[in-house]
Amino acid sequence: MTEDRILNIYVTGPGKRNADTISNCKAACASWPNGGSVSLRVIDILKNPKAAEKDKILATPTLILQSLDSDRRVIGEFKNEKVAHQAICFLTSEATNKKNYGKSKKGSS
Amino acid sequence: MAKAKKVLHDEVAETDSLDKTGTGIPGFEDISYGGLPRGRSTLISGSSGSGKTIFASQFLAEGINKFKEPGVFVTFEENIADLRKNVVSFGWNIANYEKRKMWRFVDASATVENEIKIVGEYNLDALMIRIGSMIDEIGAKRIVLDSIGSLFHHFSEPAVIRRELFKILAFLKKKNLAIIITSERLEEYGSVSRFGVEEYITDNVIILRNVLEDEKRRRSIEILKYRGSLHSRGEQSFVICRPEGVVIIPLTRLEMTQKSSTKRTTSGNKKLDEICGGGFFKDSIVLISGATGTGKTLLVAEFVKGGAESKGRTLLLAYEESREQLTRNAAGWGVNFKQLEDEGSLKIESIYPETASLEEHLLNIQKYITQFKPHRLALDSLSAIERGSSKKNFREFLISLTSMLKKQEITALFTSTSTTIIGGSSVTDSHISTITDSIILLRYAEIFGNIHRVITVLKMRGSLHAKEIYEFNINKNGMTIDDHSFKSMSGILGGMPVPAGKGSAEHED
Repeated sequence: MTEDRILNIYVTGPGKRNADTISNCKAACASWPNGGSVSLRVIDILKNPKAAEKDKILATPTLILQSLDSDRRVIGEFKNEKVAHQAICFLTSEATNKKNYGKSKKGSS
Repeated sequence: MAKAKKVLHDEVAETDSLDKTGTGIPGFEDISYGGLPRGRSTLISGSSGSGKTIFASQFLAEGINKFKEPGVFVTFEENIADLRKNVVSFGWNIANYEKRKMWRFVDASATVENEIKIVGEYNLDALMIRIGSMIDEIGAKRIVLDSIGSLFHHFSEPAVIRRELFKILAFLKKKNLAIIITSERLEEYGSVSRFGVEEYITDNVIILRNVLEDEKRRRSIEILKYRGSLHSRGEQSFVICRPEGVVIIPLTRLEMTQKSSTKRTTSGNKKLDEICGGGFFKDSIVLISGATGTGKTLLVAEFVKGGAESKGRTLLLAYEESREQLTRNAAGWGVNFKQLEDEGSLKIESIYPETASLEEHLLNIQKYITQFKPHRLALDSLSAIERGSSKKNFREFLISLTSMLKKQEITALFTSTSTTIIGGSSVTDSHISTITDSIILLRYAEIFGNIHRVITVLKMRGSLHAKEIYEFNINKNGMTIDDHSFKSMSGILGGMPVPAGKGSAEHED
């Protein structure tokens, strides 16, 4: 568990609620206890709609793991650091079980 | 009638102030009085396989081909590669449109459901911005959202989705785009849309159906709601064919604008012309009704011959016999079909009626007519066409066909087989007789133990005609009708003639 991970958070415009979500997420990244580093990239769709097109973002805010294999996404504002922490857990737990997950996905479809 | 039509059109001009854009979908402009409005949204609702995506794709593709209007396709379900591939057979080259900056996709096909976690409040601004950026990139005038049902699946909060969709639509309307939204429905005659909100956020509602009727699939389109515009009501048949795509057969808006011709044209048989008071009217529909073997196809051959003699082209639609059979039979009556075909005055299309739906037959006929530009059309026989179609469907087919023929002043001869050998009427006749202008009956009559063939003109719209019954013979010169009619017999049409006057005399005894 020493992987360095990059998270992308998509938002639309500045706005107070977006700022809160981003700062909660940053705090969760900074205090990430599970090993490895987690860094956050903020992408404002208003400024960069093409990036949202590439990652097929429909809703904001959306947090995704920057990885070719991951389709997981967490949608919604982070009220506090805890919510942000859980969101990162959800995204990264997928990354560790990536291979198994890929298999079960194929098997089920 | 003509006056009423005029008034109706004036009304349209007054009330219909919507800025409409043509869809380019054949027949749709007719039933919607001009297409779809800009700055408004239209819901296309239909069960799976009803043709929603094709309709929507066609709206964009024809927008590019016919109106040079760029369009954006937002897909919520199918992936883009599949969409491109699926419409190639209609001749819509999306990759090429994209290259020409006339088409853009927005891929909103969401990922597998259990991979999404919703933890707080959100909105769909991201989608709106992406759509907006594509619209601006190509200057889109039309947009399709196909199909919004999956949004409800993925976000599981209908109230939020409804609010967000409303926002997106308001945004698109402000940009004055013509908007199509598609949505699934579960039953053909149930609620309008699956989630029950789609029809409330859109201005117009169109329903596509694909109903099993007498073991046959029948597609239809219905404009349920069209805010601020007149539109045809009820279901209109449509077909999906290649390369046209969706083709609507606008029945209820067929106009009786055909002018009636007073010009006559020969039936191909001198005596029959005489009986008819100088031949058939040029734009008339003639029905030949008779039992099997009475000479209906013979009259068709005479009709073809008459056409060739007056230097006209005849289209012969054979639904009962093959080209070879027909050619051989005609040769027996002194008409050389092969030679006429080589000369270009005849074109035989021999088709099994069961191979296509009536709507498809109709479109095929339309194609033949456009290509061959015939002056005459013979159809042998209506009974074969009627076989295996519902009564309503058949009626619609007939009305569309006759209207098409009259508009182009094509003289047409239809044959119909009566069910009984001797005398009697046929089921078919009862509902086609009102559509045809003239009816000629061919019947068997038993006279003193011998079977004779007789012919009579039952009806001829707008003309005097002989009311007598004539006997005729079939030989190598075709049909020879006796100079003089039966005078001494009565009850011939019933099949059992008795010497005139005798029957009543016996009663008095």
